[in-house]
Amino acid sequence: MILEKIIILIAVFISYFMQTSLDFFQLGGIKPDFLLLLTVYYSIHKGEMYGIWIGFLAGLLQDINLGVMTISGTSHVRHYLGINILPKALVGYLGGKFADSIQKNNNLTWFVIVFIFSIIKGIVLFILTAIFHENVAAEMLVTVILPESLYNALLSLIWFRFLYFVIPPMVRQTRDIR
Amino acid sequence: MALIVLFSVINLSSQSGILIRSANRAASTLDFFTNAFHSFRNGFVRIVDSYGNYSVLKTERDVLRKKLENTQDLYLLLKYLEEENDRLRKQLDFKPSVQYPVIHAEIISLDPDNLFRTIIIDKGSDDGIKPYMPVLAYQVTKIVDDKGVTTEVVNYGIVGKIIQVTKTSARILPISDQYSRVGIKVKRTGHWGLLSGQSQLHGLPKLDYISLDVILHEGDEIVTSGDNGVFPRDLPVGKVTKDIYRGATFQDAYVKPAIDIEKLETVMIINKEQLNYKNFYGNTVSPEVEQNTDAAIEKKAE
Repeated sequence: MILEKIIILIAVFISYFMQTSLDFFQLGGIKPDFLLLLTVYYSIHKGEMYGIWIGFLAGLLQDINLGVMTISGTSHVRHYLGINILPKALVGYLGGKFADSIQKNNNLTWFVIVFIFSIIKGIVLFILTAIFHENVAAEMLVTVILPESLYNALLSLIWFRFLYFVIPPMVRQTRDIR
Repeated sequence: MALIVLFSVINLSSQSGILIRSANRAASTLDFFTNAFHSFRNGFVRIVDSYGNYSVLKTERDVLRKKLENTQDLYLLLKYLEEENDRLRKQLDFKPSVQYPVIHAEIISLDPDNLFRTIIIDKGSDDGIKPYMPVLAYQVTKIVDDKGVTTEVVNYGIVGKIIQVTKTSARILPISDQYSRVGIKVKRTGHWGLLSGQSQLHGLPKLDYISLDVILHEGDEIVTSGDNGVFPRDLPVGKVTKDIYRGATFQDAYVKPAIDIEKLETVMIINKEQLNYKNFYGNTVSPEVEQNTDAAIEKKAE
């Protein structure tokens, strides 16, 4: 159990480094959200608690990267801690909720699920940004979130198989034990 | 009797040559086997020899292959060092049009999410970096024309400003981030405006509040105005794209930044004390500001 959690932790960090350090996957200024893909992958296979925690950790890393504590006083730049945590944890929770009722190892299912979850994550992130920051350009929904979701969904077809090959999730526990 | 018979047989056989023929036949037979054995032995020796040679050759091949690999690595390393040397040499020769000292830094992280843009560099407060220091970069882009001739173009412009500093790292807010605002002017006409990262087009900041008196053209150069106390004046920002919109009171346009942030490797931070230092740092007071305080004036008078 501990080994599995260590593996998940390593996977989260590797996904984070892939997201922030590699521009290999960048297409037209849009890069895929590897942390979201990992969250969805684990939440579908292992349930909502895994999804929530991995989503939380992934969002936390992203928030830390954005620089939560910015200049105090007259600063007009302030990223609130949780802007990325909430959408990712929500996606993890939803993924776990839907896990029982979807057919796994099906390309179309993966594509649809990842696309919908990416859209949900994008919209929640957009709303949070609009509430807690300055107003956001609504065109971002079309110019950033939609292409990113499509890219995530397409990449998930390959990426989930790769993840299954490298870190196959152990047998899902029953809810009683958990 | 027996002796007589033996003698007679030997005599007869010697006279008829049967003994000699038999001996010869036996010899030839033996030779045949000897030859066969010799052939076998030769073959065996050849196999053994060849195995020995093979193992020698294999070892030799392995050694050579390793040498080749090392050489290839060395070649790649040399190529990398050569490129890096070129880059650093250009960077050294390159003098930004500001009189402030410059700190060079490398980028270690870029854009955690598509909605937000942040750059993290490997230098921090230990190296003298403070918040609100302007960040510049130069970038070499290769342009291949129709004839296949490659020309190198050196772009130079602002990247953003420092927003957060730790001991060993610092965060940059790029001009294309939605929270970025930079005071700019159109170089050709000198009209001022505001460059906002909050743009409808991904990665292209929006030029706003440009007077309707100016006729903006595609390719017009945009430089910093120097009025916001962060960026020194006349640093290149980018060029106006073809998307120019004339509104009722102002006109706006989209700007292609001089620096392609997604392909950035190194940046230069201008070591510049802020004009409105007191506002940024709250209670801490810079030496310049301290001179004008009452206590300082009294101290001077004494």
